[in-house]
Amino acid sequence: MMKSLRISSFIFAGLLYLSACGQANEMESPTVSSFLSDDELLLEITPESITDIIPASESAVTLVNVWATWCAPCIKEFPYLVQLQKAYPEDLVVVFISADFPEDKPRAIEFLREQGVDQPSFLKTGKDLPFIAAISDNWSGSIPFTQLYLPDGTIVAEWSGEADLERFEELFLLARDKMVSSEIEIHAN
Amino acid sequence: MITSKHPQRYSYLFHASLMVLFLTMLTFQEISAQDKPELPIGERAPMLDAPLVTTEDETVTLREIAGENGLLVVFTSNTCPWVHRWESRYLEMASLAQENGIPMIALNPNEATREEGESMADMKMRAKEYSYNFIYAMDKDHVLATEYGANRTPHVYLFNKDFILVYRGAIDDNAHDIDEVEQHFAKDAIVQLAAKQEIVTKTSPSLGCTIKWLSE
Repeated sequence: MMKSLRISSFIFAGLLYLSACGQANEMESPTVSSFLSDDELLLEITPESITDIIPASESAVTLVNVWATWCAPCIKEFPYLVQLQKAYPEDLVVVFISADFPEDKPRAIEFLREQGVDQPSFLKTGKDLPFIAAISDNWSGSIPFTQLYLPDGTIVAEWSGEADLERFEELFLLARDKMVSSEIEIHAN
Repeated sequence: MITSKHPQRYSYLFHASLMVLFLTMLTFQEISAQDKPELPIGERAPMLDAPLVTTEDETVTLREIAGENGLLVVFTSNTCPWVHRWESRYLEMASLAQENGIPMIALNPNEATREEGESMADMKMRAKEYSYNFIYAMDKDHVLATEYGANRTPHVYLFNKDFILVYRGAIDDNAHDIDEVEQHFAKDAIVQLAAKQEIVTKTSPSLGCTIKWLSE
């Protein structure tokens, strides 16, 4: 049984790999983004202005991810979100909010460029507690923290801690389906 | 469009990276996370008799080290930048708590990263380097963090003399700048507890690092 599971896993991995290779050929290679200036790539945001950027679309799911360059699980999951955004450009808007300290802004910008982020993202400014409160009443403050919003501003999933590409995609697809059917239930934890 | 001088080499590297990524995904499909809620205010501390090995090579329990007015438990890390920001305040908080009959213990629950700066040797080094004036012990396999519903570092739990939780959350409201602190949550709670007063702010959120849980 275990052996057959292992074989299946390797076949699955191979299929995933081939599938990604095909997808990668269609997408731009993950190279350094150069179209946005530093100030355009990482905009400073206050707790008061968070509601101005979320939800980020009137027709797509918004995924908000709070991360920091010093946060190992954030760095690990970050490429999955970049990949997900590129795979679903019409249906998903990923909003990255960095919780880096202000003096680490250059490091955050460097990381965003390395990851091939080519859309504006945000850097938290101001005090922590108003920021946490502005993001979610249910958030204790540990990062990474991720939320999925419908276009009407409804939060359909939110969780602290790392996720893998499969999990991100699964939850995003459920959120996308929920846009047309409110009966769908999403359990992020 | 951005092009590389060595497209083929980058292509091989990219494909190799992808293969490593997917094999890694197979191995670490699910990372364990905290699924217990934070211990509610008014609840009794669990695992009071669990043995905890300290940086002084002693084995203690929470019940043994509690003081006449209670016990202060802080889940912490050697490597979390948010802990580093608050770390100097650990000493002040521990002194205040001790003066008020409330010993402090810091617990390191980061089991998945013991070899990346969270080992006992690293803990001993940290305690010495920063002159810790409180007990620093390993939360082996993060059993206490799990039971307490801890989800970040630093994460403070203050218990009264009957081991009932009276405060849970942050040290204060400004990790970045000690001079800009407006709300001293933990210190205020310690003083109020010792004075047998009602704790004004019983819980507070704070930014912090996730605890590094063992894989399931």
